[in-house]
Amino acid sequence: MYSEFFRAHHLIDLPLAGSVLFAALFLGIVAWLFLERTQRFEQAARQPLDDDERSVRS
Amino acid sequence: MEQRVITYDDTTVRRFIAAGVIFGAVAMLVGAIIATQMIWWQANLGVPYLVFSRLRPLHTNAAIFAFVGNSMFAGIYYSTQRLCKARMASDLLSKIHFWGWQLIIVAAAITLPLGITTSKEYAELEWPIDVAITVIWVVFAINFFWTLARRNEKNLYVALWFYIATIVTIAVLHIVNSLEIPVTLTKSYSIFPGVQDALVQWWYGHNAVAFFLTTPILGIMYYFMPKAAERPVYSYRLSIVHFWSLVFMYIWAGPHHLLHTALPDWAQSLGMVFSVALWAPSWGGLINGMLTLRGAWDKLRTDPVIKFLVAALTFYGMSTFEGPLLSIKSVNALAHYTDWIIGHVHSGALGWNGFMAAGTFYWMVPRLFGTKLYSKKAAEVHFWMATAGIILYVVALWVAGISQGLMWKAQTPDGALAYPSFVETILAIRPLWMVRLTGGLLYLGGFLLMAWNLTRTALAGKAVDGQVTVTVEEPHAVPEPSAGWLVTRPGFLFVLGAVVLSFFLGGASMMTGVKVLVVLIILAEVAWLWFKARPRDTTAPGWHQLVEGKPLFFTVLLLFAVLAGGIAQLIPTIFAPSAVPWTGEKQQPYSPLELAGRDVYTREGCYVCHSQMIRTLQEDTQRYGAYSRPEEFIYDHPFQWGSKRTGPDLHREGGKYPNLWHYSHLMDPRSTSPGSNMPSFAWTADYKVDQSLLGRKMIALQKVGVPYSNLAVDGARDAYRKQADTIVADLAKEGVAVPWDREVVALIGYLQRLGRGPQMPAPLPTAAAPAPARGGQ
Repeated sequence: MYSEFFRAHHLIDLPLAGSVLFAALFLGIVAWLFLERTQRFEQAARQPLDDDERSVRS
Repeated sequence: MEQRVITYDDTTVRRFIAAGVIFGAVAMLVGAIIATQMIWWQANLGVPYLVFSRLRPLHTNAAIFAFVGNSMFAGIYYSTQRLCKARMASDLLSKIHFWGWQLIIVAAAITLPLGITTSKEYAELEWPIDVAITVIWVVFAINFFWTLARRNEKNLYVALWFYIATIVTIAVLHIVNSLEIPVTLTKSYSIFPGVQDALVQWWYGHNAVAFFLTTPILGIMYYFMPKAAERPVYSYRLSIVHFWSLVFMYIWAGPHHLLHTALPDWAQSLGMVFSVALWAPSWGGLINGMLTLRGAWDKLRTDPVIKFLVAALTFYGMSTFEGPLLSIKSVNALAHYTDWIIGHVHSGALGWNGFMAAGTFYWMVPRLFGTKLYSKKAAEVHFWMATAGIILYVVALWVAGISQGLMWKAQTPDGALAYPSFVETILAIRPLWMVRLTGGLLYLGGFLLMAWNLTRTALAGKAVDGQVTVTVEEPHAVPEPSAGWLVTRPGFLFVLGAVVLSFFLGGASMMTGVKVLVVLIILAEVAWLWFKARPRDTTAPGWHQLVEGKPLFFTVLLLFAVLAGGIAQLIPTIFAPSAVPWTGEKQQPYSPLELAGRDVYTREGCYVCHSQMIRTLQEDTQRYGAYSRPEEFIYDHPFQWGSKRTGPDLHREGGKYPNLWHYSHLMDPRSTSPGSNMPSFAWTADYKVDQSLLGRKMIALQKVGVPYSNLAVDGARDAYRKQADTIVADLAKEGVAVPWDREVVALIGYLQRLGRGPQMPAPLPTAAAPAPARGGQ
């Protein structure tokens, strides 16, 4: 089945389609990022610092 | 609202740190031993188990999987629990993971010096150990994802995305590259032949660098850099772009290890383009890490942790600039097979991985033992010893690599090779290897100082575990968006639609690429208009925020991103008959003697120093003969193209020298090649080939498509004896008595076959060395 499927393709078709698809997706993500609220990112970025850890004997 | 006290499992973290320090020292010590052997071959003491070509895989495996592996597990276990505000889900699974991983390391340390190897770089361990790695990795994955499921933080912080990428991708890479047919408990053959095997191997090899040495360490950087700087990461937005673009692009870059070889040119070009493009996301992460220190640069003077983390990022930036540079075909033509590549690898391994490990150890150990670092001064000394060591190491190998590459290319005014003897090019760079060894020893010295400092710190305190009190929300107090809601979002539907369209339109004609592009543009326009027109709800969570709250959905998206490159490159090469020749009417499988000789060749690790790939470059064809073609490797399980030339290429070795030359060379390389640094393989004249395995090996190869007839399998011993006798008789004429069943006879048979397939008739050997019998029929 695989052989038949790929026999019908030019070798470059799938890489080309994949590249175009993911380039579009990448640009979409970048566009979305810069339209998203800054506040939400600031909260997320603070996550490693938001702890009140104490130590107990192991 | 319920208050809950969570005590972290820091015992496992302490164990992984101890293992990382111990195995780090071992890996570097073995590195120093083999660096010494490159200068003074006698340093192997004539012991087969200590020979360079068997120890080099031990060094690389120990550095990658034992040192960096244990160090990264320590960082992952420490930060995951704190980012999830949850103890690891199962103490039992944590213990199985830790002890199982150490057992695998011990198994590697025993089997590799014994010559039990698949010969696939960084994947040399034989199939039972491969199975054990898979089991332990699954245990780790279950424990990790189970912890995510039990977390008391809503969102997954960026560090956890990198850990997910590591777990998922390494599983895929390891399983695909380890597909092999077992012959015995200690011997198997890759199911992929020649070109396909090379592509799969370097898809794995490159992405082992990406997803074992890079993504988990980036995750660790995203946690520890803000902690040490006491500032949030510079840009969370940038971290999202960094993550998705890095994981998507890295997987395509593998073919840059195979430029100018018999790999199809389209795959080489694709690998080169994505490698160059990788520079952008890599430096995105570098910038994000560095700028996290904004306003806290003064700590660089006083805090050893910050010092190591910043230097690690600097080396990361340097090696991720150098990597794309080396992937450009014209640069690669000079650098490939030389020490430049070894220098590049070590700027990443010692600078990026080693310094990140040191920085995080200096951060964690005092906290895990409830005390202060024993000696800041010793940490300072460690830092400067290590930095000086790396610089000496890397600069020496840059100079060595470029010098040797230029010597290989150099021509006299009349067009002949200026340095026709390969040994000349080795002797020229020998002093630089001494500088490299000095740098390595300096780095090892600094590492041992760290081990002492951390031990004193641990002894000065008592083991303590972190504890936090968390507020647990009532179940379903806040309605969670369902998976169904997520998959009906326009963004998801856009991606799905594009995938389906490209699948159906993708293969009909040359116009299909244009059609797909037009459809995508239309869909993108629609999506953009919807995006601009939608009512903005400033309190609603963003789409990515929702994805971050769904680890399973996040993992599925990630899987799509990392599989894309592999599918686009591997599947056409493996399954499309037009990509690489599958059969060759003129090709003949290796005879039983040649096959046995090939197994000795892989066992001794000859591929570590000798390539079997004459590139499509003038300097290669002028020195070694006609360039290697894909159909010549269709019966090679596994491929033996190599990645470094400490000795000359061997692909057209067959027929070049008489049998006596090969015998003398294997017993004492300097008797035929004065000045050579190749070790003696005299034990191959003592070891016997196990005749009982010949048939089983041929049957295993039958299963992966090598056309041995049943008659050939049945007559394997007779055919072996007949071909061995011709070599033994020829040697006897020259006064060398060697029994027919010794490994050296098989090895000579294999070497005389190299590059002499019927499609490429090579000149017959001298009268003293009759042409070996061909084929297994």
